[in-house]
Amino acid sequence: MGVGFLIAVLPLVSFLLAGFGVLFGWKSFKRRSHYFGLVTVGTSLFLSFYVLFKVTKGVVLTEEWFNWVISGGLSASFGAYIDSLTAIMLVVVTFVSFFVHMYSIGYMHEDPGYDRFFAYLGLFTFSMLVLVLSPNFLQLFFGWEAVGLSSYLLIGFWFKRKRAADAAIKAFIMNRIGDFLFILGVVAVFWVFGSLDFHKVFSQAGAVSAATLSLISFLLLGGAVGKSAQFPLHTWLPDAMEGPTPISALIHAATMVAAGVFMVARCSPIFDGGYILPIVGAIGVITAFGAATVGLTQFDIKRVLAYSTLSQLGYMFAALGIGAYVYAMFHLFTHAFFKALLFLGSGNVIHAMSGEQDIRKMGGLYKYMKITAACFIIGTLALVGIPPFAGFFSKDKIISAAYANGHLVFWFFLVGGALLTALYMGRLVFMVFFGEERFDTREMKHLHESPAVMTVPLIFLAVPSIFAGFLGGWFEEFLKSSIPNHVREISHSAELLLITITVSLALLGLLIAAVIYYWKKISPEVFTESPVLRPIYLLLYNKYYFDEIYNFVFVRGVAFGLGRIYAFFDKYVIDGIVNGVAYFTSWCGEVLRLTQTGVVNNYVAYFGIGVVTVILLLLLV
Amino acid sequence: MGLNLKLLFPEFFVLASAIVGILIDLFLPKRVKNGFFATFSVFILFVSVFLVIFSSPFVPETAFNSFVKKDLLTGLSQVLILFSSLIAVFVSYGFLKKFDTDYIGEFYYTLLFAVFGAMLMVSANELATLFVSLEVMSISVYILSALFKKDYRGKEVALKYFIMGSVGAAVVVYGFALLYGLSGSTVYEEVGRAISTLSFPVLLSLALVISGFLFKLGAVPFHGWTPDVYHGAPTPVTLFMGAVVKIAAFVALLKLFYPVFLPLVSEWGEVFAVIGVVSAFAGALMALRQENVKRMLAYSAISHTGVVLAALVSLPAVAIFSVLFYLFAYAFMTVAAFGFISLLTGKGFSGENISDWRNLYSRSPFLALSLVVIFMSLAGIPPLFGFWAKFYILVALVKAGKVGVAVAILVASAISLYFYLRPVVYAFMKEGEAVLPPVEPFEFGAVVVTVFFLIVFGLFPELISQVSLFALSSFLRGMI
Amino acid sequence: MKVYIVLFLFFLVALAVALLVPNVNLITNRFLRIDRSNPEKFEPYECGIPKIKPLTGHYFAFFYIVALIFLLFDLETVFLFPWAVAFRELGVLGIVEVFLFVGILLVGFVYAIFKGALKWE
Repeated sequence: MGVGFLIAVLPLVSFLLAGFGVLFGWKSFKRRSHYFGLVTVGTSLFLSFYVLFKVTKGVVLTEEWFNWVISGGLSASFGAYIDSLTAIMLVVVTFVSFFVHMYSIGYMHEDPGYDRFFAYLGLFTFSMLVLVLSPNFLQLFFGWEAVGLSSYLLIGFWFKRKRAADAAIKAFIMNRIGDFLFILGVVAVFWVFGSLDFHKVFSQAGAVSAATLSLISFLLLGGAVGKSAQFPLHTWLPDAMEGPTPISALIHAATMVAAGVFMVARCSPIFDGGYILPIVGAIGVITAFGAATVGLTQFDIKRVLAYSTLSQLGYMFAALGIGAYVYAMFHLFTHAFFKALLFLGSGNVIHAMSGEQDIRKMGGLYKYMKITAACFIIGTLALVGIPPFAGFFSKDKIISAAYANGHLVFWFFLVGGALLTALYMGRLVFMVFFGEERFDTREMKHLHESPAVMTVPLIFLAVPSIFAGFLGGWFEEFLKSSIPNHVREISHSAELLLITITVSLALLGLLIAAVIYYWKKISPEVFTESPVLRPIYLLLYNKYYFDEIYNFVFVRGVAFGLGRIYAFFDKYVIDGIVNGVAYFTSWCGEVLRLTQTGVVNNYVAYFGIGVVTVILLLLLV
Repeated sequence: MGLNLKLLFPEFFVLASAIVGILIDLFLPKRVKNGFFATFSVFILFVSVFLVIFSSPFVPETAFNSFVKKDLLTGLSQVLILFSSLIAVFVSYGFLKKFDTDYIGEFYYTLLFAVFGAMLMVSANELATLFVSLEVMSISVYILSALFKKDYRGKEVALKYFIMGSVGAAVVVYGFALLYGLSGSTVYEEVGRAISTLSFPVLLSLALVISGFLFKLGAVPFHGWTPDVYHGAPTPVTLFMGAVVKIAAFVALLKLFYPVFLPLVSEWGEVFAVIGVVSAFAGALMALRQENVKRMLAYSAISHTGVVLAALVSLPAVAIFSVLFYLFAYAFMTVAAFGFISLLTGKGFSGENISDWRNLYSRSPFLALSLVVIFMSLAGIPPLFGFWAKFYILVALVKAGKVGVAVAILVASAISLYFYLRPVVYAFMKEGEAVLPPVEPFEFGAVVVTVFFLIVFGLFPELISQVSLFALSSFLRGMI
Repeated sequence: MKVYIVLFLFFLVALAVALLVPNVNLITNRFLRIDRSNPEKFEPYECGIPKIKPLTGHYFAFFYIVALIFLLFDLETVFLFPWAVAFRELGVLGIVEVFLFVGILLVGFVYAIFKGALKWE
C-alpha cells in the first residue's frame, strides 16, 4: 500500500458512493454525487503531482497491494510501478479527469442520470489509473478491460437512443477484436518468459529470438490498435461521439484512447526486439493522413474532432513506429490538454445551441460566447501546430524525427497531414465562430455563454495548451529514464528548414480555410460539385466506406451468413438430428413427428450412436 | 476393513431426517407445511455441513469393508452439494409459495433423499454402491420434476428423464458387470488391479462406463435429454439438477477413473477431450438462438460440461485440481442463474424468456446488476469467479501441451459470450415493461448471497484454489 | 468373458436393426404409397365405427397402484428370508439391521395408508 494505492482507489470510492446512491435510489446523494468525484479525484490529482516531484528526483516507486497466488508459478500481484512514464500519465489522467468532473456539473445538470454519470466517471478514472500504474501484464489487462467496460457504459449512457446503444455495441465489438489479440499476447508473454512481471519480462527480452518478439508484439499491437482506434479498427471512435461530450473529452480524446500508445511505449523492449515497428508506423501514418482527409468533409462538430483525434493518435503511432517513444508520449501529453479543451469547448457550443451539432447551422458564435471561442481558438492553434502553442513542439518533433530516421514516405504524409489538420480545423473554427449566423432565430434567445462551472475548466486546460510545449526539453530528459528514444541527430539548419516547411504549411492550411470559409472567395461547392473531385469528396464524406465495407463483409457476410446457417440448423438440424432422428423420421411420415415418444426413442437411438462413438474413439486413440 | 460406521454419520443423518420427514408430513396441516419443511430442511442441511466438515479425514479412510472411502475431495464436494441444496431449499420455499402443489412435504424430503444419494455417490468406493447411490439421486430427481399441479411440462419431463435415465443406468450397469467379470470384485482397488492394458473386454467396459457418465453429465452425443429436462422441470429442481447432480457425477467420475483406469489415462483422456471439445462447441452453438433462458442455460451447461471434460486430458493431478475448481465456480454460477430465474417467475409472470427481461434495469437496478454478474461470470469475464475456473483449465491444458484443445475451448467461450450477453443487453437496452412478480425475500437472499460469492471468489480465487489443492493432496494420498 | 462380448455385439446388431427397419420402411413407404388421404384414414379404427369420445380422457389407474404396493411389500419381505437362514451367524448386528429394514418398510406402509393408497373407492 502507499500513495499509488490511494491515487487509484480514491476514484473508486467516488464510484461506490455514487453507485450505491443509484442502486438504492438515495435522493440526497443524487444532487450531490459530483462532490464525491471532485473531492476524490482532486485529492488524486494533488497526490499525482506529489508523486511526480518524487519521481523527478530519480526514484522509482514500487508498491504491492495484494498478491494473487495462482498455481504453477504464476503469482500475479496487484500493485504500482511508478517511473517517469507512469508519473506523467497519472498527472494527465487525474488533471483532465478533475476538470471533466467539474465541467460535467454544468453539462449534465438537467440529465436524469446525473448520479449514474458521476458513478461511471469514477469507475473510469479508477480503471484508467489502475491501467497506468500496473507493474505487470495481468493488472494491465485488468485495467484494459475495465476502461473498455466503462467506455462501453458511457458511450451507451443515453441507452434509450438507438444510435447511442448501437455505437456502444460497435465500440464493444471492435475492442473485443483487439482485446482477443491482446490477451493472446499476454498468454504468449507468459509462455515465453514464464512471468507476467514487467521488470522480469523486459530484462529477459534481449535473450529471446526476434521472431518470437515479433509475434508477441504483433499480438499486443492488436490490442493497442483496437483501443486507440487505429486503422483498420478505427470505425468505433467517431460513432462513440454519441456519448455525452465530457466523456468524449476524457475517454475518447485525452486518456483511454491513448492507452494503446502508453502500452506500446511501456513494452518498448519487446517492440524494439521484433520486426514489427514499421507496421506500427505504417498504421499510424495511414490513420494520421486518412482520418485528416475524412475530417475535411464532416459536418458534425464532434465528428470533426473525433477524426482529428484519430489523426493525432496516428501521429503518436507513427512516432512509436520510428522508435521515437518519448516523442509519442510527449505528443500524448500535449494532445490530452488541447483535445480535451476542444471537446469541452464544443460541448459549450452544443449546449448553447440546445443540442445542435451540425456546423452548417452555426456561425458567428464568437460574439455570443467570447471565453469559449477564445479557448477553442487556442486549442485549435495548438492542434494545428502554430508556435508557440503546445502542439507545435510535440508534432514538429515527430515530423522531424521521421525525417531524421530516414522514413521519408512517413515524413511526406505526416507533413501532408499537418496541412490537412490546419485546413479542417480552420474550416471548423470559421464555420462555427465566424461568418453569418445560420441558425434559427428561435435559438437566439437561449444563446448565451455557459456558466462559470463550464468555462473555468476550459481556461485551466488552455493554460497547458499554450505552455506545455516549453516543457519539451525537460520532458525528454525525464522520460529517457524509463523509455528509449531512437532518433538520429540532424543538423540544426536542416531542422530549421523542416520546421519552416511544417509551420508554413499549417499557416497555408489556415489561410486556405479562411479564403474559403471566412472571406468566401472560393465556394466549397467548387470542390464538392466538380466532376473530377466529386467522387473523391463522396469517398471522404462516406469515410472511405469503411462502415459499409465492414457491414457488408462482417455483419452481413459473416453474421448474416452464420444466421442463415443457424436458421438452417434450427430448421433441419436442431429439430432434426440434434433432437434425435425425429426430423428425419417425421420427414418420412408426418404422423410420427407429432408423438412425443418418438423423440425419446430417438434420444435413445442417439445414445446408442454415442456408445459406438466412444468405442470407436477408444479404438482409434 | 470393518464397518467404521461413524464415517458415514453425515449421510445417515440426512437419510434418517428424510425418513422422519415422511412421518411428520403425514400429521401436519397443509398450510404450515411449506414453512415447517423449509426450516426443517435448512436445519438438516446446515447441521450436515458441520458434520461433513468435522468428519472428513485428511488421510483417506474406508468404511463398510471398503465400499465407501472418504477423503477431503469427498468432504469438499459434499460441502458444495450441501451448499447448493441449501440454496435450492431457499429458492423452493419461494417457488412453492408461488405455485400450488399437493406434495409440499414430499418435495422437501425427496430433495433430502436426493442429497443423500449425491453425498453417497461422491464417497462410493465400489461399483454397486456407486450405482445404487446414483439411482437414489436420479429417481428422487425424477419425482421432484413431477410434483406440481397443472404442470404438465414437468410431468412429461419426469417421464422422459426417467426413460432416458434407465437407458443410461442399463449401459452403466453393463459396464460395471463387465468390470466385475474381469476382476472378480467390485471394489475400486481390486478392479484397478485387474486392469493394465486396453484389451477388448476392458475397452468395452470402459466405453460403457464412459457412456453412462457422459449421459449423466449431458455431453454431446448423450445430451438429448438436457434441454428438454432443464427447460421443463420446475426451476428449483432445475437448479438442483444443474448443480448437485453435476457435482456428484463429476466427482464420482474422478474417484472412479483415476484410481481404477489410471494405466489407461492417455486413452480415455483423449476420448474425454474429443467429446469435451465437441460438447463445448455444440452447446455454445445451439444456445445462440434460444429465446428461453432455461433452455439456453441447458445448452450452456452442455458447453460447460464439455470444457470440464476436456480438462481431463491434462496431467492427472492438475486435471483433478482444475476440475474441482471449475465445479466450485460452476455450482455457484448455476445456483445463482436458476435462482435468479425463479425469482423472476411467478403466477401469471413468465420470467423465463429473454424478452421478459426487457428493461429490467429500470425496475430494479440491483437485480439487473446481479444479472450482469451472473452472466458475465458464466461467460468467464474477469474478475469474476467463472473466469478463474476457465483460466485454470486453460493453464492445465497448456501445461500438458494440449494447446489445440485450449484454443478450441477459447473459441467456444468466445462464441458463448454472444448468448450470455443477450440477456444483459435486454435488461439494459431494450424499451419495454419488465413486470416483476412480488419478490420473495428468501429467494432474493439466496441470489444475493451467491452473487456476492461470485464477486468475492472472483477477487480472491486463492481462497478456493488453496482449498482445492488441499483436497487434491488428500485424494492423491489415497491413490498411492 | 466371450459370452458378454457376443451379447454386446448382439446388442449392437439389434440396435442397428431397430434403427434401420422403421426408417427404411417409412422412407420406402413414402415413395411407393399411393396418397389418397382423407379424414377417415386418420381415425383410430379405420373400419368405419365412429369413435364415442376423444382419446385424451383419463382412465382408472387405481388398480395399478394397489398392485404396485403389493409387489413392493411382497418383494421386500423376501429379503427377510436369507436373514432368517443365516440368523445365528449374523448375531446381534443382524437383528439390528433387520429391525432397521422393517422400520423403514413400516414408514412406507404408514405413508401408503395415510395417503389412502389402500382405500378402494
